[in-house]
Amino acid sequence: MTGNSRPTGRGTLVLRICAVTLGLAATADGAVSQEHSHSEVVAVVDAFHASLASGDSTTALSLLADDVVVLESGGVEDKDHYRSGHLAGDMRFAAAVPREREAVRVTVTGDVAWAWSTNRATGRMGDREIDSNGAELVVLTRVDDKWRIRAIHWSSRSAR
Amino acid sequence: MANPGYPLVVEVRSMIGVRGLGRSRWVVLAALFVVFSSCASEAVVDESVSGQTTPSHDSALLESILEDVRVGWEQGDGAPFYEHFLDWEGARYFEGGGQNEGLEDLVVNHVEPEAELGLQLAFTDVQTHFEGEFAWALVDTEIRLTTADGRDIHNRGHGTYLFRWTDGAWRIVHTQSASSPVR
Repeated sequence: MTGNSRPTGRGTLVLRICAVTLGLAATADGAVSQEHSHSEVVAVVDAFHASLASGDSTTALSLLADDVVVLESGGVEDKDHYRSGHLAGDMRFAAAVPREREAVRVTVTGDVAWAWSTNRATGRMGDREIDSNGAELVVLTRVDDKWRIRAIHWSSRSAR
Repeated sequence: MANPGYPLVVEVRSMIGVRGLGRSRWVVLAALFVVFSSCASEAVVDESVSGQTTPSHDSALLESILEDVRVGWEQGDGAPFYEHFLDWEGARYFEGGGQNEGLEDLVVNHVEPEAELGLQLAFTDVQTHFEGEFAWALVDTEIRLTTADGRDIHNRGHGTYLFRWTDGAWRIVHTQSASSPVR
């Protein structure tokens, strides 16, 4: 090792440009990846609601992790209980009562994401007139590149 | 952040005496730089993780925070909320179909007024879930209070609390709760 092998001014400049370029590329990659994850999470939440509205219980259940917990109407259900419990009612409700949902807000941290949104549901369910403001919280985790729902919390109150 | 790859490249350049390589030296340097900056990027990630306390996956920590928050609700005391909540831009706290936007809104317009109604709040059957620097807790809730117009409220329901590991502690980033009258 000799003392005359120190970087020249020009060499230093080139190296710095390389460093900045690579740094920017890495940052851009991260941003794109993050945005991609957001889109995937929203897609799963949307697909879950679409499957409820269309009565497609198979798809709905496939988007739920095996250890999912569903909180609604003051009750708590695991996947088996949801399948035999509220799922059918949720599908009937989703088909009968349209919801106007505001944009889903998503936060992704590694392989975990949570999404929340508010909605207004108006319509008729049997002889019941529905007009309610609701909130939804969904926690998802990514396993083998697939986002699955680990927890759902629905709550609502009359809009009147 | 300074690029930690740079000194490595300089060092390697010194070691191989690239000064005598002519125009091709920049090609060599560029290739070495890519390799080393890739290694350096990984080193930075490792450093940032090891520089922080590893997230604790001890359920008792979350239960302790929830107990502080529960007492804060009953006493109308914002202190545990300011201590344990991450008051971030865009934070929302839902109850029923309503929401508070940000921590101050929650404390001033929800916690404090509800405590004045003699709120009694119970959290039971706390279930915790951990995923790296993220955690969530589900709790059974029971609420008693008397409204300003004299109605006695007695509800049971559930709450979901989301946590992120921030600055060596679990912070609540989102809450949602709902309850219905006990019949």
